Order: sequence, then structure tokens, then C-alpha cells
Amino acid sequence: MTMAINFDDVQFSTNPEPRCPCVLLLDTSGSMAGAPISELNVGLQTFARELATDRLAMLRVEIAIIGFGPVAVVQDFVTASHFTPPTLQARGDTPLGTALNLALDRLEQRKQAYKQNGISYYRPWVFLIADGQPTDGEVWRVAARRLQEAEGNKKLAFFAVGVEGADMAMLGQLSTRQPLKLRGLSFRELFTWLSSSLSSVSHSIPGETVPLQSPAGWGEI
Amino acid sequence: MWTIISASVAGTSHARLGTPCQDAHATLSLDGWALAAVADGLGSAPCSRDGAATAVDTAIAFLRTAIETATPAVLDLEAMLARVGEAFRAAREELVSLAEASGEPLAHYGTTLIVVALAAGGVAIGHLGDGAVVAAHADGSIETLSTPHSGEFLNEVLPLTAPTALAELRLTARAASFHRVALLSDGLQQLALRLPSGEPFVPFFAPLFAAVGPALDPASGSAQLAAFLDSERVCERTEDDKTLVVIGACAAVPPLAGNSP
Repeated sequence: MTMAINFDDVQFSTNPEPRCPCVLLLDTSGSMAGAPISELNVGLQTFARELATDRLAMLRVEIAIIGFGPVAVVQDFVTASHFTPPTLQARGDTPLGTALNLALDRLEQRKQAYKQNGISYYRPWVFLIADGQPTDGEVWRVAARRLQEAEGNKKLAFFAVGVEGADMAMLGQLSTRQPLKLRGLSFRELFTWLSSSLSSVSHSIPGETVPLQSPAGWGEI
Repeated sequence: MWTIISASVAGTSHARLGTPCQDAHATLSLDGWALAAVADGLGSAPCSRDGAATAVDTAIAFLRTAIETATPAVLDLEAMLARVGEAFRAAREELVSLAEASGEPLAHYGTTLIVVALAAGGVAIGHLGDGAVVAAHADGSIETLSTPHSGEFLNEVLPLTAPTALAELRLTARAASFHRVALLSDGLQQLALRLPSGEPFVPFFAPLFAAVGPALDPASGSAQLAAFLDSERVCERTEDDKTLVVIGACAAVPPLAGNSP
């Protein structure tokens, strides 16, 4: 006689969703004024809209935004489902090093919070968009050393994108990964790519390395 | 003396990407021992399906030989734990041979591995990577015997192919009478365990443990288990491949509390 197992009685544990933190490090200095900052703002709206099409990404991707002109946490870490794109204003100079240091600090704090709350997490992403040269002296070199150490230990994935006028040589010295140059003001395409990439990461399963999609639609080396 | 049901089912993410199920399992009931192995081939390793299948088959074949050729004729728990450790070495060596024969890098066969050898008086466990082993005592209380182990980031795990794999192997022996033992791959961790502690989520295991006893036909039970693992209820909670092996003591030992006929 065949006995039926009553699987309807099997209940499931509810664990917090794993998180995929992403810091957007955005140049909001005066040189971004006009079309660049408004296209960047449109790009952020695209980003929020694209993430909203992915149920898991909405629960798992966490976004923080650090702006520089004046260095400011524009948006502290928030899951994509609670992310409202800000409207950035362009003003001030380009304290890139200070902003990068702040991003690394905030990321470390966030990871501590995950650990304290028993939340597992994916390797964080730091995504820098800049159009000029650092104006905070040698701070960026110190931040770059921190960044490279973190990259060397595979603690995070760092991407740098230069907007027209950016010091690509400096961006190249920040990280082991080659910076990309934004084609024109293709911020929308860039953020569509970023959303899609983060979606892939947030769907990935243990042991799986997510291959990066080509940035050909918006960037060039 | 043991009823064993088992199933490995491809995750929905694999169906989406067109990749096969990279989980594998093998089981054997022999001379009073229930043997079970579960492997989860790494998604990033191109040949991990072969790696996982080879790892479980090699480990179980090794333990079978160990039981059949044991002197004295019956292995004690300590001796079995040592054999389980050797089974990991044998499985790793087989992956090395496979890589040499195919010309693929060893890392392409990357997989986790859990091996359990259960007898009336105790259980020996070897565990590398994530997944878990959960068991029920005679009184029906349920505990996790071996918890998932992974790196800092969710999608990182140390595979059997890693140079340090055997040094990282976690061996556990428990001299107690377990009436039910389950092995699960990481695809079920979020559903079956409280994380990050790794404690069992009892309402997941209790109905399964109640069912896997002498009255259950293993083939039918395994087919039902496979259908359950492929059900919408499960798939909406996990996109990964999932493997579950449940071993239940048969007539020779009393049934679980709360499961009396």
C-alpha cells in the first residue's frame, strides 16, 4: 500500500532576505550643473523604475547615495522597495576622496548591522560617477589605498565612471578595475545596466559568480 | 533497518538559465548502516554537475567498501568517523583524476559535500560547505547536527576542489540513538532552518520525520518528495537547486513520540 506523505503540513521558516548593498557615489559639484545633473536625475528615476520590475531585487538590493559637491549622505541605505530617487542639485567643488572615505565607512557600518541582525549579504558594490578632479588634496590617494585593499581582499566591487571632463587618469588610479567613460550623457542607459546587474546579483545563488554584462550601451574604456 | 527517501530537483533559476540541476545525492542501506551523501555543485563551476555526482558516488562507494572489508567485522563510531574523513579524501582525489582526464581545471568541478553514516547507536558526519544535517532523537526532539558553513558573502563557499578543503572539513560524531536524520542542500536552508543560528525550523521537519517510517515505501516516498520540492509552494521561496534526504528507523526501533499507530 502506498502511504501519502502530507506535505501540506510542512511549514517554512521565515528568514530575512539576504541583502545586496550598493553605494552610489555621485559627483554633484558645480561643474555638473545644467544638462549633466538633470540627466543624472533622470537616470536615478530610471534606476528606481527598473529595479521595481524585479520582485527579488526590490527586497534584496539596498541603495545608499553619497553626493559630493559638499559631501552628504543624500540617501542612507534603503531597500529598493523603499527607494525614492532624489533630485540632486549641482554646486560646490569635488571632494572625491572624502566622499569615498565616507562610502567605505558607511558600508562597513551597514555590514555590521547585517551581522547583528543575522542578515546574510552579497558582496557590496560601490559605483562612482564623477566629472572632474578631486579638490580635497591628497585625501583621494589615501581613500584609494583603502579601496584597493578592500578590492584586493574581495570585500567589495568598485566601478568608476567618468563623465565628459573627468580626470580619467585619476579614476584609473583609484581602483584595480579600469574606469569607464560615459558616452555623452547616457545616464539612463547606465542606470538600466546597473539595475539589471544588481538584479542578477540579487538572484544569484551560493557558489555562483555573476558575469558582468557589457556596458557597451553607455560606456567605453 | 532504515527507510531512506531522497530527491534532488533543479531550481527555478536553473530552469531560467537553461542549466541542469547541479545538486546530487547518493544513499545506501548496508549492514545496519544508513549511508547518505549530498553535494551541491557550484553555479560558477562549469563541470560542477559532474563534480557533485562524482563526489557523492565516490564517497558512498568508499564507505561501502569500508563496511564490507572492516576488521573487526563491525565498525564502531570512532572508526566510521575516520572512514568518513577518508571518504572525503577519496572523493577529492576522484575529482582530481576527473580534471586530469578531461583537461579541465580542477576548480571547474567545484562542489560542496555532506556525508552521513548512521547506525542504531550513533552517527558520523563529514561536512564541507553549506547545507545541513538535522536529526530527531527517540523522544521526538529535533536538533541540527551540522550547520551550514560559508564565507562572508552569501554567494561564496569553500568547495571540495579548494586546496584547503580537507583541512576545512568538519567531522562530527554523536553517540546517540537518532530515529530520523535529514540532509539538505543549501537551496532549502532558508525554508528549513532558522538563520543564521542554523537551528532547525521544527514545523518543517516534524511532518517529514513523522512520515518516513516503516510504513513508507521508499520509491513512492522519494517520488512524493521530488514533487514537493518542485511544487509552487517551495519554488516561490527558493530559486536554487534543492536536495533532501530523509532517513528513518524501521521496525527494529520504536516509532517517534506522537507518531504511534
